Amino acid sequence: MSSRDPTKLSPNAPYKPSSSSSSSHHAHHHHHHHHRSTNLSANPTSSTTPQSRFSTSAFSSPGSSSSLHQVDEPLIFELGTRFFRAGFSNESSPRCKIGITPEMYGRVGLKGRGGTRMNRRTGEAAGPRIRNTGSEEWELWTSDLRLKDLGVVEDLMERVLREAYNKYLLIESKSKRLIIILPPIFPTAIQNTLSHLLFLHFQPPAITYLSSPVLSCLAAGLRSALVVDIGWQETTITPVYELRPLTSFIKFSSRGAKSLVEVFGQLLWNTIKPAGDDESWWRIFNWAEVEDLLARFGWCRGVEAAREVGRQRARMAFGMAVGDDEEKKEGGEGEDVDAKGERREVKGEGDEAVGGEEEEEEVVEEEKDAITERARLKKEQADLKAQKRREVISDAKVELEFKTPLLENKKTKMKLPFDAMSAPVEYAFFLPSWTKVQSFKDEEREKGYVPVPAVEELMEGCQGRAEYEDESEYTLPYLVFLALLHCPVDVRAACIPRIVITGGAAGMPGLKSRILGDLREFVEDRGGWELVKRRNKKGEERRKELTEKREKGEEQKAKEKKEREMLQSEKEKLRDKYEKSGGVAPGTIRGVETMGPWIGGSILSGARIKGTVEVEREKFMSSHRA
Amino acid sequence: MSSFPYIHISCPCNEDRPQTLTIDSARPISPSKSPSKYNFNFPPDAPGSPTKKRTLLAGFNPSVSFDSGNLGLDLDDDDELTDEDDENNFDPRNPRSAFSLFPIENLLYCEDCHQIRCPRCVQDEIVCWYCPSCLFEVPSSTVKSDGNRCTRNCYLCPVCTALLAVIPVNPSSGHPNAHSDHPAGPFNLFCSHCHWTTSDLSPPIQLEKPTSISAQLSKLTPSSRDAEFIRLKQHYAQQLGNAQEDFTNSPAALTRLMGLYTGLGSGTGGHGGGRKGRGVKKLEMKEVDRPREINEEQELEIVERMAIEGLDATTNARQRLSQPHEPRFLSELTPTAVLLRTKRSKRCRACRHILVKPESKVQTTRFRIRLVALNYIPSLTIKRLDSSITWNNLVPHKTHRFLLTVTNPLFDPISVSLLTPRKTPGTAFASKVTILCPEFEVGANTDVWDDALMSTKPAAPASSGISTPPVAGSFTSFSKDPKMSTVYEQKRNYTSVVIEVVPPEIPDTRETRIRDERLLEIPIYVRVEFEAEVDRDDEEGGGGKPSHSGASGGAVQRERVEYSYWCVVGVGRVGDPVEGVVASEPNTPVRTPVGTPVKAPRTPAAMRTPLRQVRS
Repeated sequence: MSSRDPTKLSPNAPYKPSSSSSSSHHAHHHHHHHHRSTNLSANPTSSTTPQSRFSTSAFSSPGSSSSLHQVDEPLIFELGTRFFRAGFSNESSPRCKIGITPEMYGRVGLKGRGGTRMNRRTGEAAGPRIRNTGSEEWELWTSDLRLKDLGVVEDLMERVLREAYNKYLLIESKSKRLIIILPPIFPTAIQNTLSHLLFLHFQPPAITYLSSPVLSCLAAGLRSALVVDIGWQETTITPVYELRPLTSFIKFSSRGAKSLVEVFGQLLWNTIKPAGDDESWWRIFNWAEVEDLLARFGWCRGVEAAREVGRQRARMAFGMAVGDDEEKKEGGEGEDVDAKGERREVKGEGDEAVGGEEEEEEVVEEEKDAITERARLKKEQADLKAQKRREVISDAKVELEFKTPLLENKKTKMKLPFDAMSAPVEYAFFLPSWTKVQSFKDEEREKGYVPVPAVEELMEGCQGRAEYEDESEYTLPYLVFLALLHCPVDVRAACIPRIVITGGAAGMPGLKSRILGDLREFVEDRGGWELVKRRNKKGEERRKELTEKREKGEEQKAKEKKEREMLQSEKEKLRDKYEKSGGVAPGTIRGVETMGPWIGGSILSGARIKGTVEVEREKFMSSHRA
Repeated sequence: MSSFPYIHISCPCNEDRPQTLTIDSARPISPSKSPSKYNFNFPPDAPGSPTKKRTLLAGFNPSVSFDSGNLGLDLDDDDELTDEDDENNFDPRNPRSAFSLFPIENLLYCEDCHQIRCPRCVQDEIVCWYCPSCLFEVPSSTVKSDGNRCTRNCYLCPVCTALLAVIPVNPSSGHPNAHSDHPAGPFNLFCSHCHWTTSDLSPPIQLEKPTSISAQLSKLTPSSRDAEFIRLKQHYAQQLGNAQEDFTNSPAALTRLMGLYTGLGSGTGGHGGGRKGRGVKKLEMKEVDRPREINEEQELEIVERMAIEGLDATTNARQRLSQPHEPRFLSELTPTAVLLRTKRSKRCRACRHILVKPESKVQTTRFRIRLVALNYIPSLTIKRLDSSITWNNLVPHKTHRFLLTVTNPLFDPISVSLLTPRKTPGTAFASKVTILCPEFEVGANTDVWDDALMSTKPAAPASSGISTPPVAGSFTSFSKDPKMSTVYEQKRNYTSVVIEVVPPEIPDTRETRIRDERLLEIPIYVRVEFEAEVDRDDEEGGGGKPSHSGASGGAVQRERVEYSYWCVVGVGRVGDPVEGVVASEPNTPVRTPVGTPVKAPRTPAAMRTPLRQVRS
């Protein structure tokens, strides 16, 4: 596979692994793209690479592939922690998505888990090993292998794969190559186990491993992106540049869909918990019920709404009256307004739920163009709509019912305001990790089911509290900010307008825009891509203004104002220009929807682009016979 | 809760699974050690904590001889038990065991390997595809393009997965005459179970014809997902198509990089060949035009809709997963076509011989070849010897006697050895288990009439077994019965032996711990030996059982066949301790009389080796 002419330099050369079987996932990936370039350039020296001649005709009829090539089309497996997806290449959705349940750990022929493991009174079956919250048995694998028996992972994977092959794919496993999509960081031990298991039990001719962020990027139609994958056990933020993942700039956070469910369960249990009961929520409720409910009805507040709630909490922290619009925290308010002004500059679209009259004043004061007038009208309409929506949301109620066999009443009913269903997201992704989980009790409602911080906490900010902080302490938008900040400048420039949010939790309505909104706020707050926040921004500006006023005359000021306006209109022109061509101005934070890594794999393999590194069955089995 | 008793057989493929340890060094825990070993950190105040039990046993040991009366040997054994047994014995509580244990009905048998084959160690080959609803066979060429689903009129309700029926939207207002032959359209798909109809969707789906539903549905439900997918695919196709023209000479990645940093063409000198710089500008592959942006407004609209429509309008996890577009609201569900099923033939993965081969016609349920384990390996059943035993409530410290019956499906007599760890492995609360007669013969599965005609049977010398079984309840006399040490009952093709179980006191851990410590499962190692008549000429001709050719002479060779496997007997659950039955009571566990050939029910090393030899 590596018989390329050594004189032909390639930027990927250092990543070349010595043997296909031992190469890490990372290397696989590089190779794959490397090969793509050789493939396209029809380099005569790359004779040993399995060349698959690309034919344009195959593309003109998407969906229906000629039967001649059918043998070549691989199967695509995506190995998530919680879900396993499998399907054929060139299709718009996987044929199956199998969720892991505790029953899968059970014996054949025994109902449920059988007698082997405890049938708890909760009715929830238990898995092989329970650590924290019993989430292990809803997972296919974990990256923490310390307490995991790899044999069980192997057995479970075998079971899941067999179900996929025999029930959904209906194909003989020996005939098809495999493309397996893995998260960017995947334990080598599991990957090895997986390869072995596949070759032993299912005997595909070859396996190619691909990295999920690149495919997410591909499935968004982009070549560079910052891929935020909010997965089950962790969130990974991977910069992808020209379809190469920059693995050294990946950020991880243990905030993921799992923590979301855990927070929700804890909130629910806190609500009905009698004082002094120290039972864990996951023994009271059934994981499946809690997760399902969250998937059905969890939502995330919009940026504005969340900021409003945050402001009120701050006011409460300082002992001020709730809902008093005049008195606001000074620094915060000033920046908010700045932020909004700026956003309008950049995005030019009315944001819903704006915070009051002072906004309007500024609008009138600064810009009196017809354009702004129109924008304002539009905004007002949007405001009205947002107002109506806010009312609908605040009036709505949810009636929940849970099986709680451990408690006296075997079923627990709750009637919660719709607002409550947005609280878990706040805890899981937008509050510092040390925040104590409250409850859904009525008296918590005005605080948004989130504890009111102490004054010093507000002064200090979210950071600085945890003694040994790592990146999981940071809120998700801040971590995205950091990820972008740490990227090389070129990459950052490419990634800022291309933020792709994917993963299991990303489907929660409102979450994606909230992350982006908070990110915008961060950047505006810092006055750009700065790690350190400028503290006394307001004071500095004031000083500057004062000194300038003394020196400059009236006409000077008018000139400057004109200049500013020109700059403004220039910016707007630029924006319009980019908008016309379907893009955005550089530096604008923009989120792009993706169809997900599986679809990326489907498109990629549909284009008959083969990875250079294929783990071949013969080779693997000869070198790995234990 | 499962119903007791049950017997599961561990497929031997579990024993020679690849050792992951040898492949990677990153593994922290050795796979040979079961993790359950580290699981015993019980609170010290637990009633039957291991330390307490240990001392109790130590005091108990010298007074009662367990097996052969040899005290020294016994102690040795006991020491070994703690060291070795956990390693070698099959532990039904090991999480991995759940994946290798099967009821005998799920197992196959390979005649050539003389080994049990479970669903995991066979290779499936598809014989035909068919719709389970209309039993229509789908040709293999169209299976994939149909999406593995029935393309005729079989649709399932997306809400409750019942089969949908086609009914006219207005059954009453239709033509009164035409009611019988062709009802007037439009038509609905209607679920007779939950009364869901396609009219519930938004927008409602109504079909014009009652036939060829798939074609109509695909027109009526355009998927935005598909549209986006096609757009992306076309984009990449176009990009690659363009690129192919220009990429002919230079390694694209490098040129692109050079172009990026140094301007057009300057970096391509050494690498670009003759056409340097020409295509550099075009080399830049573009991203898709107007990528879909994340839209806050859209997301909030969903939230608003959720708030208005309420929880009942959303889909649950199962409904969501069964649809490719993963709809959030019930009104977005579409009828799902029935998944096709397959008839599969199965091959032994080791020797590639066919184990199961169904008839290729969909309507028949017959098999050409079907080597099911039931016809080859002796089946075990367990019964209470004393009807006062309740399966779900075994009394601690009391000796429970069960009757283990081994039934021989073969036409040759077999000799069986049953071995069990003296103490159930994998738990801190080990029950003592003794098989009173672990080695015995089981007669051939001859015709019932043969049995009646031939009065002399070599396999059953102990004709006393046919004598009346002792009356349950008469315990004291019963335990001194010499028959207890030998075979309890022997009939034409089955033999019963007595198995004694003394469970300890076990705290109820169901609510506090992960595993049910009170569950009593006994692993038994079954070793079977017999002389088979092997007909060398045809090996897998017969469909079912091995050919019973009693009269044939010289052409038939006899071959000694031996195989072995672990099985797990789910005996029951240990209940709460009963007053009066105490562990120290000396005569409660009645042991076998001195001198009877009862072996230590531990698997000796010699016994384990053939398992692997047989397989290779």
